[in-house]
Amino acid sequence: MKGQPPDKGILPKRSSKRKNGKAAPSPVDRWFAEQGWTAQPFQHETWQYMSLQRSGLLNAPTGTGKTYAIWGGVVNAALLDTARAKAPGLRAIWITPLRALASEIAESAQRMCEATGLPWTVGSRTGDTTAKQRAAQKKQLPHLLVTTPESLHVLLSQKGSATLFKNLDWFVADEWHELLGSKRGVQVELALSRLKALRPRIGIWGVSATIGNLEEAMAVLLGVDPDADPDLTSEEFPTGRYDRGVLVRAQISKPIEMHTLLPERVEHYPWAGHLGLKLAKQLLPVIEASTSTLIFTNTRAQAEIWYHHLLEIAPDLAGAIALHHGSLDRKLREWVEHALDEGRLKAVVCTSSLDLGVDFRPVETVVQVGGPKGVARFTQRAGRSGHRPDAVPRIWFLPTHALELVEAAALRTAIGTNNVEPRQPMVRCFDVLAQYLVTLAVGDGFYPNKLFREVRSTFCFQGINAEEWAWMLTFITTGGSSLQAYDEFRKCAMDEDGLLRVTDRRIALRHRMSIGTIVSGASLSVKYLSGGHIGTIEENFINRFRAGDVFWFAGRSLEFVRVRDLTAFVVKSKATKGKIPSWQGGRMPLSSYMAHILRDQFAHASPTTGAAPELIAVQPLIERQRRDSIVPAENELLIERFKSRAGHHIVVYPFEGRVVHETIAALLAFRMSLLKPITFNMAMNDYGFELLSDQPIPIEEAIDNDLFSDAHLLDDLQRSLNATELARRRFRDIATIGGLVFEGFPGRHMKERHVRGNSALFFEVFSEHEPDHLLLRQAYDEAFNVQLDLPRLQAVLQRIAGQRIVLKDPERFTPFAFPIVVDRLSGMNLTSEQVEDRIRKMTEKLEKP
Amino acid sequence: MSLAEVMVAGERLLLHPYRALYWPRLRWLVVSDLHLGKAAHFRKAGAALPEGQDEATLKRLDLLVGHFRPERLLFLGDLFHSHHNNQWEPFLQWANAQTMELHLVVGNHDILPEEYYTEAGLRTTIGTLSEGPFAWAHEPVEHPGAFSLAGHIHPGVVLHGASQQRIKLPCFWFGEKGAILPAFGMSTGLFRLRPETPDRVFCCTDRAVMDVSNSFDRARKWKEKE
Repeated sequence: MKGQPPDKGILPKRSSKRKNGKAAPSPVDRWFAEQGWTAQPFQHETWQYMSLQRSGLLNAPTGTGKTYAIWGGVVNAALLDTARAKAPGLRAIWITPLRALASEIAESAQRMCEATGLPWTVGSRTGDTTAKQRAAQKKQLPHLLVTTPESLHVLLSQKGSATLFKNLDWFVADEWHELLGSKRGVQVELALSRLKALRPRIGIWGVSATIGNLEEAMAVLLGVDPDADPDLTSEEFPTGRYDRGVLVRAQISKPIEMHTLLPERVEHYPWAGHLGLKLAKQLLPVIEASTSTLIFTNTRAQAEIWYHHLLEIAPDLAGAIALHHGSLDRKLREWVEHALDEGRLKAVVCTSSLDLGVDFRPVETVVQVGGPKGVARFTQRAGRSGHRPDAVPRIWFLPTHALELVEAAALRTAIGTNNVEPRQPMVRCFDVLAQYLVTLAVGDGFYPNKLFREVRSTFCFQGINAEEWAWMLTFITTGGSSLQAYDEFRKCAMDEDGLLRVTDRRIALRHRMSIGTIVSGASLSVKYLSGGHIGTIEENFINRFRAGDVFWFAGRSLEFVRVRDLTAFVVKSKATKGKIPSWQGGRMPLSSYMAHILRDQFAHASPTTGAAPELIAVQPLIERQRRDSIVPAENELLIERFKSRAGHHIVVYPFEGRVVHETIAALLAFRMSLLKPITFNMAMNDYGFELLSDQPIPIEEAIDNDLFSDAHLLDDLQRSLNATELARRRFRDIATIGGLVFEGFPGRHMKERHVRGNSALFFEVFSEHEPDHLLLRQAYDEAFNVQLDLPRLQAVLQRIAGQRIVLKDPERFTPFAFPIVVDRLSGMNLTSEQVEDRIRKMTEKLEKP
Repeated sequence: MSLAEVMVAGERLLLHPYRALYWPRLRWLVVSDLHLGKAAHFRKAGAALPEGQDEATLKRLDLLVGHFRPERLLFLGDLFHSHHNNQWEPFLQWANAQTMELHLVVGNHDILPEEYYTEAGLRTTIGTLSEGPFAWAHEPVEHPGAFSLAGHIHPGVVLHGASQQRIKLPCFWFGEKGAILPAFGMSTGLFRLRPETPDRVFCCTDRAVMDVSNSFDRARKWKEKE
């Protein structure tokens, strides 16, 4: 972030507070002293700022006492305010992204209240809260409420919600870095804009792990002044427009101990793959050496496979290892977390499901299987270990193919510096806004002009103009121009007073049910015939099954029986082989920073300069690459050309990550398809991408024609098919969040293909009849800016423009090319041939002997 | 437009890219699985869908009628998607404006009371309609002594080409004892067939019906080896 930070973080001189010699220690200070604890400097600092009613952002890693730092400030302030200390009513809201954390946070607040003599009640409210508890809360909310963004919006959708918040003093967003880059963060921004209107002096605090843009993260949370003149042309961080806050940094950085599991003979280690099972035997001593170990994999399927494999090679681990991922039943997961906490588990194979959460003291070691795709994620995961006094986080990197050793070397250099990736906040999420407006209309209703000002005070919607606002109102009152004929979209109506409200109880009920921004692909719950819930599985996976088929799930071998009422019934199976479910998602993009240090490692991957042990280990492979082709230097872009039985291959190596490669591949394929009618199949990984065709690829001609130019970029992308398809995919979630598509009542979910079919139909209709539809526009914006990352793409193309293109014709697939060619997933096609011609070719070809 | 011609049971049939079949001898135009009113059906079930699909479907039907001038238009089931909704009326209007004979072989989705069809001037047949060497039914089942023609499954095939190319298209499928028509309606999804010897398969693009039977030669040759 450029320019002036919002606050230098200089506290007022102590003397100014001291009138008669010494400042009395705060109640929380006293309690700390009684416990024999010493408050850390950042805790003191936070308490002091909070006593001055300031807002801000606390940058502290987990397990360092950040919860006490914030609660301490709240409790101190409450005890000073003796007049209101005993009054009932909600005084502070604590937002957590993970409902599993809610109870722990509530407990530590409770402890502090009791110890300091503050007569407050503490409660939590999440999707897990029982109806009974909710009913009790409806009568009287606790003083401190720990909740999620979704549950907070449900509170806003209640009648009389304004009175619920009339005593509110504090708002805390925990793990703000986690919420920031998602639409859940936008939900927090919107809820806050409402709360600020009700309680203008509310204190707002965020708690965030280290990210590359902490100041921006704070600005997003605190919001903007809607009356200040936006100077959008300024490159500088526009301080005047943002509410000022203080940034408190906990200067705690434990060094990370990093190791890499080196294959004994790199020549024999696979060149491609994503499992790394070959190293499992070598991993056993690592597991043995620690009380507990967390083994992180990048996908749920990978976790299932690893769990299974570990038991196979080390049967004595049975009962001492467990599996943890997001599709498993909550009770199973809680059992695992509990057992881990008590030190009863030697190892847990997990996914990002354990990235966050309570700290497990017995965890001494973390293992990362495969590239973590980002430095922040790697350090975050490392930080899940080493929580005993004097212990340090220890992480082992386990490469899944030989070239990942270079990634390991890159990570090693990166964790030595303090560089981590920024998290980009989401902007102009009209789907979330549409949902929020209906949420308010279901509750007490709203006056459009008044609310416009509030909405413009959020970072996300600071740029929304009057026209767009008017469109939003039309959308929720009539459905917009193309849906006017249908009653279903007339959600809100204006009463004679000018208040926009929802009066239809069915619409209200349906809306409360669909509040949220996480759109789950339709999933089925998996249950034993004899009863007992095991977890959830994607509909697409289970649809391929017939009765009797065996699959692995939750670490068990299960035989599929039947599907009924969105439940897949199974029985235990004795079969040792079975399919592993593949869940959608899971492929994480390589961060731009990670891509940069990776290129750097490759460019300097020669034994003389490469001192990292991983680089030395990978030398035989690098040598082979150098012999058959080249290892590109910083100012070179390598293109390799092969011919094989499959056809003509072109492999390009920008080293920019899969997501960027997917886009460049489509762009290049499109540009070359203008030169002649040709069909391409595309494949990519984090290092490069491949174009495959049944006819020679006009690469030289294309290079001469400015193949990598960033001119007409947007136009070419839009025409390269890709854009419409991507937008269509983004639109599915947008239509659901924006309330166009209803996912169904609990227990009566719509089938996945219906939801998808419906959103696809909306997409068509809007494209044809209402191309300016804001939700449609948003789908394209998200496709370009979030998914394709257009700004990054432009930067990449400009970088390539400065490079020398080296075209090589190796005789065989090089070590660089191999993983791309082997990991090919069919399906991505781009063509400029007539479909009839393609059919003709396909049928003729086979007639030849 | 490029049509395909096929001889079955001594009769000549024409296959149109719009996914319709024409029987010149009796001047029958046959379409299957229109699923009119499907959008409105889902809207009633809580999924708010916009419309415009039905209109396009009927428009294509108009073009075919104008082209072939048939004596009879046969709907091979799943004309209207389940219960009555406001999309029936546009169809009723369209049907009443027609001069040829309208005939519906009732499909699993055709659950409207008989009087609706009567009002639209539709003759209905439940089960199988026999005419010439053909047995016309909604669901593909064998009819001994006749060549059965059916719809219901929305058939499609995947064609594979060199360099991992693939295309998925709706198709007409002709087996030894019967044939299956593609769905005429829009956005109805495809059920992928895996044709075997000696099936004949004709796939539909926007402009042509093409015989792709020999794309499945590979499977055929492999089978012969066994």
